[in-house]
Amino acid sequence: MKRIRQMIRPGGGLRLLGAVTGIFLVAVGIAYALPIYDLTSDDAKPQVLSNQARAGRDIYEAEGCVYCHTQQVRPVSNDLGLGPITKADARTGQNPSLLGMSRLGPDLSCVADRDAELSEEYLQNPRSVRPSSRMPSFGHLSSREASNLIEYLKTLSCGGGE
Amino acid sequence: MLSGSSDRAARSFLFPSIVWLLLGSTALLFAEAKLVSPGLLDVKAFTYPRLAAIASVSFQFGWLTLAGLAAIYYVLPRITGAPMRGETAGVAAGIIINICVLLGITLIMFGGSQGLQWAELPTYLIAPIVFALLLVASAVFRTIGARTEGDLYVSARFFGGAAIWGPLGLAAGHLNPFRDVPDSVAHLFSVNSTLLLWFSAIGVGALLYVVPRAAGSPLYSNRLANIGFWMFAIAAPLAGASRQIFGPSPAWLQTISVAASIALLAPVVAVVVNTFATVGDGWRKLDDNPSLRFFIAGTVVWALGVGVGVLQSMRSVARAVGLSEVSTMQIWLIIFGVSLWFMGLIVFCLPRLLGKRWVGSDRLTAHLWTTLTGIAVLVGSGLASALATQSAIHGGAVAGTPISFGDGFLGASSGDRMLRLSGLAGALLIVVGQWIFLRNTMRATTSGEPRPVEVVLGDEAVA
Repeated sequence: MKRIRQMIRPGGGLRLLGAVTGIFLVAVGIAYALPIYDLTSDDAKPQVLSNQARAGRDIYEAEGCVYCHTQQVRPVSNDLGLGPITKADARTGQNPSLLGMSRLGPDLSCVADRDAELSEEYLQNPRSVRPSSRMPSFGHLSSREASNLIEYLKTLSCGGGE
Repeated sequence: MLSGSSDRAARSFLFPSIVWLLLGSTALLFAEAKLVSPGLLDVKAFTYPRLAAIASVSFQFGWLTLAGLAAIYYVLPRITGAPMRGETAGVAAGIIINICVLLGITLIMFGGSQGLQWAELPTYLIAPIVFALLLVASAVFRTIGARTEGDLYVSARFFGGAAIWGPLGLAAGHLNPFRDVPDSVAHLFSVNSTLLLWFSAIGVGALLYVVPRAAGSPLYSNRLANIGFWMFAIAAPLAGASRQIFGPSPAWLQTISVAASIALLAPVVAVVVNTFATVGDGWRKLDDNPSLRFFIAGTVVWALGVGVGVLQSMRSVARAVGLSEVSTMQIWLIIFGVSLWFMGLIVFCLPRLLGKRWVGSDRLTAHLWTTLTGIAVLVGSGLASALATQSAIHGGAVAGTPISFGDGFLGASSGDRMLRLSGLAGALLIVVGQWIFLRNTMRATTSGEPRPVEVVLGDEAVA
C-alpha cells in the first residue's frame, strides 16, 4: 500500500507512467494497429505452398537470405525490370513477411520468371557459375535442402518469363 | 543517504556488456570481410547473413541493452535521491538477457535465423527478455515514486519512457500473428522502437545526467530538454514506416512516418544544443575529461544517424537510395552514437562504482579515437558504396539494361572493391578500439589506484 501511495502522490511517477504509456498506445494505434487492420480486413486467400516449397521457405528464413534479398518491387526507376509493383494486399501467407529492408543482392519477387539458371550448382558454389558473384556459398545445404529451397524460389513468380 | 553498495545491479551489467560489444564488433569485422572475399571462412556457422545477425544481436540485445540497464541503475538513484528499487530484480534481468543472447547467437550460428533483419531472436527468447525489461520498468517507476527530490529531472523522464516503450515495442514486433505486409509493418515498428525508444532514450537520459557533471556546469536548458522529451515521445514511434517509402505499406502510413521523421529533428536539435551549450566555453575541459569527449562524439554520430534517417524518408531521396545499404549504415550510425554515449557513461561511472581509477588517460584517448576513426571509415565507405551502387543500378535501369541476376548488386560500380576494403579497415579499427576498452576496464579493476567509492546525497554525488 505504501508503494502505491508513493506512486499516486502528485509527481509520484504514475503521471509519467500514464503519459508515456498513453502516448505510446496512441502511436501503436496509428502506426501499428490501424494499418494492420487496413491491410487484413479483406478476404483475400493466401497463396498455398507445397510441402517441399514450404520446407524451402523455412530454409530461406533460417539461412538469413533476407539480409541481402528483398521481395518487393517499388514504383521507382531503380526497380524497372524487376517485375510488377508489390501491392499492399499481396497474399503469400508469409510470417515473417520476407519483404526485406535492404538489398545487397537482387530482388527476388519474380526470380522464377527471370532466371533460368536457378540451380543447385549455383547455390552450392555461386562463383563456379558466375565468377563475379559475391553471394556466399551454401555448400553446407544437403542436396534435399537445396532442392527444397529452389522449389520455394520457383514459387516466386509473377506470371511472366524470359 | 545512499551508500555505494546500492549499485549492485549497475556493477553486474558492466563487464558482460563490454564482452558483448567486443563479440559484436568481431562479428561485424568478419561480415565486412565476407563482402570483400565471399569464400573466406566458408563454414555453415559463419555465412554472411549469420555473421551480420550475430553482430546485430550482440550489439543490440547484448551491449546496448545491458549498458543501458547499467545507465538506468546508476543514474536513477542519484537524480531521485532514493535508493534504487528492485536491485535483485535488475541482476536477475541481466542474467536472463545474457542467457537469451547467448542462446540466440548459438541458434543463429546453427540455422536459427528468424528472417527478421535487426530483430533476430526467436519468440521464445524475446518473451523472457520482454519479461526481464518489465521487471526493470517496475523498478524504475517504484524508484521514481519514492524520490525525495522535488522536481523530476528530465533524465528520469527518458528512463521512465524507455522502460515502457522498450519492452512493448519489442513485443509488438515479435509476439504477433500477422503475415505478409502487416507483419512487415509490425517489424518496422519494432525495429524503430528498439533503436529510438529504447537505446536512444536511455542514451539521452544518461547524456543529460553526465554532461553537466563532467563539464562542471548546469544543464543549459531544462525546458529545452523537456520539450525534446515530449517531441521524442510523440514522433519516434510513428517514424518506423519511413524505412519503406514506396513499399507496399499503406500510403497514408508512409506520409505520417515522413512527417514524424521530420519532427524528430526537434529532439535532435534539443539534445545537440543542450550538449554543446552546457559545455559552453569550457572546451579545454575536454583535454582532461575523457567521458565528456565520448559524449560529444556520440552526440555528433547519433545526430548524423537520425539526420540520415530524416533524409532517406524524403520521397525524392528514397526514390534514389531506398532499400539500399544507406538504410543499414543509418541504423549502424544510431547504434554507434548510442554506443559512444554508453562508453562515456562507463568511463564516468566505473571509478565511482568500483572505487578504482582508470590507468592512464592516454589509453582512454586511444580507445575513443580508434573507435571513432573506425566508425567514420566503416560508415563512410558503406554510404559511398551504396550511393555508387544505386547510381549504377539507376543507370542500367534507365538505359534498359538492368543489372542481371546473379552478378549481384555488390561490385556493380568499379570502385566498389576499394570501398569494401576500406570498410573492412574501419571494422578492424572498431574491434581494436573495443579490445583497448576491455583491457582498460580490466586494468582499472585489477591495478587501478584506489579512489573513494561514490556516496550519494540526494542529487549531489560526492567522490
